[in-house]
Parts: sequence; structure tokens; C-alpha cells
Amino acid sequence: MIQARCVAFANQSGQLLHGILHEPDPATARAVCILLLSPGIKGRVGPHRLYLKIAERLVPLGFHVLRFDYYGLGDSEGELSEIFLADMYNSIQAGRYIGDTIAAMDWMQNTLGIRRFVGSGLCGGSISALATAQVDSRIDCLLGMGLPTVLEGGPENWARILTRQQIVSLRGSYFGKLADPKSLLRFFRGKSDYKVIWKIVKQWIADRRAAPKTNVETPLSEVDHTNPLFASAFMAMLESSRPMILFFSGADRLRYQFAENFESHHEARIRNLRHLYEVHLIPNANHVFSDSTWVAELLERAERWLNVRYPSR
Amino acid sequence: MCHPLAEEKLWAHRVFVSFARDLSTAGFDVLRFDFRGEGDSDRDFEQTDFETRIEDAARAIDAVHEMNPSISEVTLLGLRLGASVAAATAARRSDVARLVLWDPVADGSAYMQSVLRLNLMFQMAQHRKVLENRDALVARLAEGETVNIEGYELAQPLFQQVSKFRLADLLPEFSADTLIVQINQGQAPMKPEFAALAETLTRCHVEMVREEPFWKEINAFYQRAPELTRISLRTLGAMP
Repeated sequence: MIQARCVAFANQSGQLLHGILHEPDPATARAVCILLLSPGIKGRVGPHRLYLKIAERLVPLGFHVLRFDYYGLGDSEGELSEIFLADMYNSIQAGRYIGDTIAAMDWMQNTLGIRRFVGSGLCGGSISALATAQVDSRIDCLLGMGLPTVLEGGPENWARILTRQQIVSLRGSYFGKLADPKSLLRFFRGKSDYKVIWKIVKQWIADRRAAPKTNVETPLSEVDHTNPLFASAFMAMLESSRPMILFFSGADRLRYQFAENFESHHEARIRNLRHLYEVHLIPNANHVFSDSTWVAELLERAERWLNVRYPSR
Repeated sequence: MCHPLAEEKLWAHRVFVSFARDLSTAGFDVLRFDFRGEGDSDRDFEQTDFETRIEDAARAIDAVHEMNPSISEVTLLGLRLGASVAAATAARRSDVARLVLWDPVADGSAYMQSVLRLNLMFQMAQHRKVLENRDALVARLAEGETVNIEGYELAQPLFQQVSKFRLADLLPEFSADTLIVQINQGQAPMKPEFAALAETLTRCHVEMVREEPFWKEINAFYQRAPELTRISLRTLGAMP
């Protein structure tokens, strides 16, 4: 078990934030701290203790790892006003925790003299890192896992935020159900997701009408669900030459959303800066990387990338 | 306070924190802790079982006495499997004055089957079919392998020990006051196993509250459980 201690520091509002600091052997320390930012309700440990697994891999390499609870979440002080989970996630995407992340860096700098940080986290944690990096250059680079581009819709709004590629990939499965009596029964009993079905049919008709085929992207009308802060924050990283490594799960929509709602719309701006970020898709992985082989792949690539970025002493 | 198992612990965390703060405001010392293999604590999940959780709860009681020797009375409170751990711990000790069991797992075997169902759901999401049914998973556990449950590696000792757990077998050994809180989303009859306990044991009573199942993913952002808090504080003498 790696060295860890409980820490607490105040944010700008005076709310006490609780966390765990993992410290490397001083002989191997690289004076770089990886901030594992809370994805949201799962707090500083992350789903299935993912953040502990990451810390256990990276601390022996010489990195400090700080994971802490944002105000109103986990063990930290403060209360949040949202009634629905989706609204809480959206508030994170809107940059609610930039101040807390800066407070964490201030504390690390004042306490341990560390001035370089890798902004990291799963989902809400990675967007918090990106949003903070836009206003604080101490975030040297970004190690993002499941970086969300589009605002949270909640399961009831899933159809609204489906990407074009998801619709295409779902088409075969849904059309196959036409021959399945159970699925038909479900459809006629009103238990199907008609919004999803309508989008699939609509896209299919649009694709049929689009002949002869061209390479021109048909933009979806849902681009307005893109997080309005995303593009400027992402571009700020690129334009200040701060590199990023982004891990996406093969089985969720976030990679497609990143490609369709961000990359395709900013192609000209990012063309000459594309070398600054790497995208890794972990095949079949779910949103939280719950299988140990997915975590192993993620950690192996992350370690390699960090070693290039921060050579050991 | 004894937390529930694995991801249930994470979903329920803020309700635990809020309740602990309410208790503290009412003048109680409160200790929340993570069982080994969960949260921030040492060990991997697969290295832990039901017995290690009982040992950890017992150690927590000892730690409370060490930290504050003036404490004369200890109440164990738990949610779901944490409530079962609390009951099992109290049955082995003479220094637990009161038990508060939030939606306790009464039938460990049925509970473990529901845990295995999470793996089947994972298989469905991954392969659109179940490649290994429950019997195959149980066989794999018996052979010493682990089964992935939402990212946690479930091992045979935990599976076997919890499967043998019956709340009804334990509570008769416990002579102090026991509150069982059955949590319902809507109108529901009292669970027969709770009704039987309340009928058999004079110092055990059951309350029904209406709350969302905040130990799993729901649409609501559940920071506190008002009805559950009210009933529990009243039982603990913290409010009229």
C-alpha cells in the first residue's frame, strides 16, 4: 500500500474540503502532482475505487497524487441546491469546481512547493480539469478519462443527445428487432423508446435521400447541446502548447460526441495543433472502465505518456 | 455507522455524511469509517469478506472508546449490508446499546443473487446476451476465481458468508433496542421477515419510511433522506 494521508484545506468560500494525498518516495519524487478530480457523486475514490488504482500505479513512479471532495460532495463542507443528478453534473460541466481545483493547487504549492499539475479525472473530473486549465496555467497537461463534450441530458433525454454515429450503429440492432415478436410486443405496448426509434428512422431516410453519397458531413441539429465552455477551454490548452491525452470508452457516446460536436466543428483551428493531443479508445470499455483489463490498458498508456512528459530523475 | 457494499456505499455516501452531521449537531459523537477494501481504506475488495467487515466494525467501536473514554453508550447504525454487519457485530459484543438498521439485508442469499445479477446485466450490455449464467458464476467463485461486480472483484468468502446470513437468526441474540427501518418508494406492506421479527422480539420495532433508493443511481440528487433522518433521530432521543 502506498503512503497516503488525510488532508483538508479551505476553498475561497471558507468551506473545508477533505481529501487524500499520496506521496512518493522523496528519492524518486518528480515535483509534479496529479490531481484526480472528482467525477461527481462518486467523490474522491471514483467508481469502483478507480482513483485508488490510478494512485497506486502512478505514485511509485514519483508523482504526488491528490484526490479530494468538492464542496457539497463526499466528505466536504457545503450544500448543493440541485434536485436532479443531471443538473448537478451540468453544473460541474459549467465550471462549478474551478475555484475548488485552484484551492487544491494553492494548498499543494503552499504546503509542498509543487507548482506543476496534471489535471485528471473521469468524466466530470476531466471537464473540471480542462475548465480550470483555461484560467490557471499551473495545470501543465491533461489526462482525461471520458471527457464530456455535451451537457448531461439524463437517461430520459438520451435520444436528444444521440450522435450520428451512435444512430448508425444502433440502426442494425433496431431493424433486427422488427423480426422479434417480443420486441414488437414491447413496441405496441408503449414500452419502446420511440424518440430513439424516430431518430434512427429519420437518419435512415436522410441517408437514403443523400445519394449520390458525398464525403460532406451532415451536421446534426443537436450541436447546441455542446457544453458552451468546452471549445474555448480545449483551444486554450492547445494554443498554450499544453498536451493532452484523452481516454474514451468504446461502449459509450463520449468519443463520438467529442469528434462530432467538437473536432468536426473546429477542424480548421485544430489542424496545426493536432499533435498536441492523443485520443485513445479502449475497445468495448464502459463509461467507468469497470473491467480490470480496461484499467490496465488505460494505466499502461497513461504511464508511458507521463514518462515522456516528465522524465524521472 | 456501517456503510453498504461497493457502489451502494458511494451512492449513499452523502446521506451518511448529512445524517452524521445532524447527529453531531444533536450532541452525539459519530464515527464513519470505510471497511477495508472499500473507500479510502487499505486492501483490495477481493481480500475482504463479511467477517472482515464485522472485525472492522468491532475495531471501530474500540476506537471510539479509545478516542473518547467518557462515551458510555454505543449505537451501531448501518444501511443495507452495512446494517447486517452492524447486527452481526452487535450479536457478538455486550457493549452495543442500540441498533438502527436502515433497510437491512435480511436474507443474505437473495441479496447475493441480486449482486450476481449486476454481472449478468454487465454481460448483457457488453455482449447483448448472457454468456455465463448465475450457476456458472457461482461455480467460478467456488473454483477460487473472482466475479466482477461493477468493477469490484467479488470472491468466494464474501459471497459464501453473506449467502449464509439471516437477520432473523441473529437478532434474538441481541437484547438491546433495535429499530429496523423499511425504506419504500411508495405504499408497500411491511416485509414479512421484518414483521416476524417485530412480533417475536419485544425490543425490536419496525418503522416504514418513504424515501428514494438512494444507494443506487436514481434521477434525484439525494443529499439527505429527510424521513429516514427524522425517524432515526427520534429513536436516538435526539428529537421529540
